[in-house]
Amino acid sequence: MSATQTTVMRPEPVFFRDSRKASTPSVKHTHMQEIEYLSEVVNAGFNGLARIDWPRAESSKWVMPKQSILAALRHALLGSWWEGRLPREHRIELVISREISNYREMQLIIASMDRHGHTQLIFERPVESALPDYSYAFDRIEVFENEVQGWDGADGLPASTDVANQVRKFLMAARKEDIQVPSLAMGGDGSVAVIWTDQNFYISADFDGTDDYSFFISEGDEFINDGVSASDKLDERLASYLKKYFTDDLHQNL
Amino acid sequence: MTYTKICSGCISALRKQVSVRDNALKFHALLECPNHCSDPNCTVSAFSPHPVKGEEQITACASHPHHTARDGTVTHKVFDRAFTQGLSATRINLPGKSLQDVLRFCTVVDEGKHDKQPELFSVGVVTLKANDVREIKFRDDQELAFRVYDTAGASNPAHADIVGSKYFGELRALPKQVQSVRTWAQQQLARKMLPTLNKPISTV
Repeated sequence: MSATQTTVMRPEPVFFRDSRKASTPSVKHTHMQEIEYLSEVVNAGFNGLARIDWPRAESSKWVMPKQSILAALRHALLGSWWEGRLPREHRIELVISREISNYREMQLIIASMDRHGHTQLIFERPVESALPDYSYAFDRIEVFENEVQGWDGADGLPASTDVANQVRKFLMAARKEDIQVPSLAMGGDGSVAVIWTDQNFYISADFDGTDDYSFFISEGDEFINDGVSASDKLDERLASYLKKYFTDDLHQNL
Repeated sequence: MTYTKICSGCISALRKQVSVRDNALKFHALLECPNHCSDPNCTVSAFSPHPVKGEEQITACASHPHHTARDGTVTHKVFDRAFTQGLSATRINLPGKSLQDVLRFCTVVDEGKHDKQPELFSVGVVTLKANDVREIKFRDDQELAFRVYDTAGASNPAHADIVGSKYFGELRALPKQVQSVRTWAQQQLARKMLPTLNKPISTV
């Protein structure tokens, strides 16, 4: 039995890999040694995470001691800057180079570690292609920026460079959060609305060329919320609705 | 039913020459008029048979794809114009007018743009019931957000305008907290579109 067990969250090969190995534990295992070993794995993981901008930890079908390690890792991150960011962009993959028997698991795992080496935490960072394809939105703002005066048959103005740049910053922030590609619409004054809509919700962030954007969230005829935010940021209230209703990320609730 | 005409002061205000983008602001004079010239039973134009009745349907070109969402649905940006130049509409229930007339008109307008924007295609029209437009309120003070006026000309007695009641002008001129009040009212207007008449119609 030498198959490698891994936990795989997404099938697409779209992640950079950044691995950290823990050292081989000693042959004799006391309870304390086991704890020390797991601590070492956790520390290796934590140090690895510290090198990544936006970590993501995910897990499924974890078995002991994977579960313990991941739980310990999460515990170590509680209250830290990473807490709350873990379920987002990055994932941690724990590889144990030995298949694990269900009923003798702990003993076999430890023996396996002794014989075959290491427990390894692999950090995977999404590359650009893992994020939603926003080419429609970026193309559209470019069209708006290059529009001619009078484009609407009246006296319509193109989007100013300021408007276009602010929309781009906002789009990048939204994309980074795995939010679905929005629609973009332009008014005759060159202002641009970035809109997410479905059968229930209509969410719009409106850009006018000043530093901030205004937004509103509505569900049917019901007004839910509005606000103002810096253009390069997703307002928290806005983000909470977008993440809940306008993301394809199946792992968002992990 | 008899209708009153707007007063001479309001007629003067509407005849004032202003830039296209400030045209809607002229109608503010009617709202402030002590003679209640903004009353829906008050007729604005001598060329109009009567004020726009509540049950009348009014149709406007919404043909520019820059105003639409990815799925082709109309966004609130179509209605920016109600706060700048006024949103021109056609009263399709008047004798001699039909939705087809408006569609033809919109197509002609778009063909005029086509030389500059060969990729432009016509999306369609929006049709609204006058009362639905008039009932929308700003959510900050619950004031009526839009008016519908009979702004007929000699050559087009069915012309009407949808005009905002305040928060006029370009978006950037408004305080940020007010912007979403206006845009939300615009979105409510988009929700009032009569669905069967607002499908994409053709490509130019």
